[in-house]
Amino acid sequence: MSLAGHLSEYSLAEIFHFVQDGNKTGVLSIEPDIGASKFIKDPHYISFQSGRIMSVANGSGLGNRGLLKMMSQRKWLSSEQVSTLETQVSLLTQPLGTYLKSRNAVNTEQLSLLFNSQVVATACKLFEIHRGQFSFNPKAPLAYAEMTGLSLTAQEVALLGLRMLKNWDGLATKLPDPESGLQRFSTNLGGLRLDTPELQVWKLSLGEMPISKIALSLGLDVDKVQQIGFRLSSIGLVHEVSVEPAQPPVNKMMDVPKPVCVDGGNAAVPVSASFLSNLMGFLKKKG
Amino acid sequence: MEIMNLVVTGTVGAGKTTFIRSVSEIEVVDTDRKATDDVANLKQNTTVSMDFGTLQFGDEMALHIYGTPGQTRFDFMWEILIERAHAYVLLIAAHRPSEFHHARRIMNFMNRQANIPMIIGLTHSDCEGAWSSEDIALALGYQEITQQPPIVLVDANDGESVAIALVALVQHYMEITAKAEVAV
Repeated sequence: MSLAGHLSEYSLAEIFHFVQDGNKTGVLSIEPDIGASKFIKDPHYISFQSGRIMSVANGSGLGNRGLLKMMSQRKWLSSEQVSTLETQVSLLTQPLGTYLKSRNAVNTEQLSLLFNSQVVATACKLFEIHRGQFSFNPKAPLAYAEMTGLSLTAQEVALLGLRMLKNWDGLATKLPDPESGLQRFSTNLGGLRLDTPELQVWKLSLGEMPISKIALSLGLDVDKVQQIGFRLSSIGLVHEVSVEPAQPPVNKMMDVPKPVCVDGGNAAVPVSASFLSNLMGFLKKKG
Repeated sequence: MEIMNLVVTGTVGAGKTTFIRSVSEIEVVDTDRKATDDVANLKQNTTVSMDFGTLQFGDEMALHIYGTPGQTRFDFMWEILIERAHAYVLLIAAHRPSEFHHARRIMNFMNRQANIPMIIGLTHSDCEGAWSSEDIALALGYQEITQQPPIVLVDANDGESVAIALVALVQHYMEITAKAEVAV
């Protein structure tokens, strides 16, 4: 059984959320459909360790030497060092960045720059892909050669990625309905830093006010609040709820068949212990 | 007559009708009607459907099982059912991840309408592309295993499997009501 499907069904932010909540370790493959993105054409492989994003690699697979290439391009490593490392990276038992730092070949600031370029910037672009396949392989070997040793929670990367997303067309059908409410899961943010509009929406996410009214009260466009709602929902801070149950007009309700068999029993009257005992015995015989 | 009402809800194609048919002692009552556009607010010729089955296991004891329509637009029909229900089972086809969002919406709606015990029944878990119960729980928003309701694998076509799922639901009902009595 695998965590796999289409990006049209689950957004990348939601997949990140599953992986983080499941505290999963493994590699998430993202394969965009042809023409799905202007910027991302190749499959991308995102390595997770206990729900944290360790690296993002692209191209033909995990055998890439993307991180070495980035350091070489920046002339942080000599061509001799790169050649030597290329023969050794498959033997690594720790992230390449950590290994090089322990040998004073790179410093913390350089690793931060690499991580931002390799993980944050690339992952943010991946949020533009709405058509393609995803699959999570918990048995895939960790790509130490692509890791700086730094990491971010999937939630943090999703929040950054969705904030930077310019084109929301691909997510239009996933946005919460303007007449739905938002209900927050907790009264604290668990250390996440929200920007001002996000914080305002989160504070009003009490499951009572529809998004259209939240937008009105905050002086924001409805679509902006929908996007914020999606963002907060994707990272597990709120969920969409119906504020009012959908009721048909009274005259139309008369036309709808009432369930004729709803005539006995009532949840307000708990069933007796002897009833339950008899029922369990009866069902167990059937099972 | 002492009656326990159970509701079987879930996404379209998860096997609600089959689930009830597999265990009901009577021919399942099906209230198919054509809905009007105004009521459905959707396409024409949409059918409203509510299934009903029963299990009589004593002179004065019966289990009534109701199936909700597959579409959320009939929320008022659902309210009628859920307000009298003692517990419910949410059926989800494990091989259709595209339906998990809808399943979550159903669950949120049901839980807002009535605070009653529920379990999750996973059908088609042996099909290609089926997600594991752990991943489906995550997709439904359960981050901690301790917070999630019981999850059972069920073959809606198999009466024995459905009976086992009902045992799990009734068992869960008993545990929840026992806890509530202790709390009082």
